Amino acid sequence: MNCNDVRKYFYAFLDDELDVEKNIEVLAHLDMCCECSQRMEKERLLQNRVRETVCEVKAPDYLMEAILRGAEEKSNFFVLLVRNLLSGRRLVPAIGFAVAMIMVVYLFVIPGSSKKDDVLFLAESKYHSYMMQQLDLDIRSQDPTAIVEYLRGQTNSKIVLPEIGNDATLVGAALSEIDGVKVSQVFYIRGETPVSFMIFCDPDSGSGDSKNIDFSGMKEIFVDEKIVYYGEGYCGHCKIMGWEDAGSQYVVVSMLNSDEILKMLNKT
Amino acid sequence: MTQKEHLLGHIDALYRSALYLAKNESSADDLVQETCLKAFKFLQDDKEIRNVKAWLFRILMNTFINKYRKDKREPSLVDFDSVEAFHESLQEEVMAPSILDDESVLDSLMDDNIKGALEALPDDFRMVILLSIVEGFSYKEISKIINCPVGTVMSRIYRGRKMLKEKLASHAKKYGFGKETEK
Repeated sequence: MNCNDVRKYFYAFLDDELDVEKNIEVLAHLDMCCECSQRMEKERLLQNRVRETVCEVKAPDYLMEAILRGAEEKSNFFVLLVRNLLSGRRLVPAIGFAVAMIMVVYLFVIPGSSKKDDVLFLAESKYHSYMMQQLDLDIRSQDPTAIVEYLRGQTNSKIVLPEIGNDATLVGAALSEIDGVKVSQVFYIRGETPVSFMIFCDPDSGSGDSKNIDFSGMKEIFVDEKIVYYGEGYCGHCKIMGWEDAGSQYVVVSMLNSDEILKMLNKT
Repeated sequence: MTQKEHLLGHIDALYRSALYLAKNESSADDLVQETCLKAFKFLQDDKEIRNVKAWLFRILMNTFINKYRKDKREPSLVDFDSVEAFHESLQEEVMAPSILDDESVLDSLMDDNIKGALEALPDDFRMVILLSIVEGFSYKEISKIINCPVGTVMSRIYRGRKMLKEKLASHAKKYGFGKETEK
């Protein structure tokens, strides 16, 4: 091995990475070549100097404690979560989240729990989730007499509420105008299903407010000895039912859960 | 001695490497803490670790690369410091006379000069220099720690040392050491 060969293996020799054979060859060369051995020695010195400098650095005492503390807390998910949330840049989102939670509790949970037994509240929320609009009642009452009185005052005609099964609860009534005619709309809730129907008075009854209802093109069927008209009705989205018991008035079943209200009417 | 205590016996080694890698104390604290917590978590599964120090350094290097290094590219198998480049560079003057050959110059180098020269090395080179010269890992161990072929490790160690010497020499010149040698 000459000087050039040895130089090739210099660092590998220093790092003790040569196989036994090569190691012996390099050692033999260094033994007889003063220049190479001096350089090797200097290289080793420099390396030691670097090692000593870096090794002067010691881990601070608090670090060991912090690690042990961290390892203990690692198991406590909640503490870790709180600490994470409170640390620096996460503080603002954490406060925002807390405020949002408080608002949710105040706006929805507290009113919700206080009203959940209220039929009207239930009807309104179910109606809203079905129709995607507010239930806008003119009168809120579970008393049929009060509703009939109110509607008589508003439409100037005698209204008879159809008999319905006991499983439906009266919620209230509203007046809406269809083709310039004041129409009484009555709302019920059956279980958790909101239902409503409209009551038209027959023009012959002399109320003067009503119009003829066009039954042409509608399907006439009999349900429990009552005539039921099915199909596109008066206001375009109603099923119309001729109501025998009610005499001179027609009950128009709105499309809002119409199957349910037909069941209600048939049950009586 | 519990496994945890055994693991914490390497805390000084982890810390000095972390400090030289991240170049500031608070990042070094974070690095070591994260490394140890990851290791503890792994130990909970009662897995046996053969070479604890190398394993810890592997976690440390991965954490450093993922967290602090801006350039997160995966070490490629064939890169600029390939084995060929290493052998070519070997043809250069390995043992060119240097200002550092003067022992008085070496002695007069301050710790700060060495620290500065080390910190000025690119991350990849600083890593292997720390692992080999300071921590005494074998090339094979280093290749596992930083997930690189042994040839790449050898080339980086060689070139890293060369760069380190150049930087130290320029320090020495700057502060006027070894002028006699130059004459």
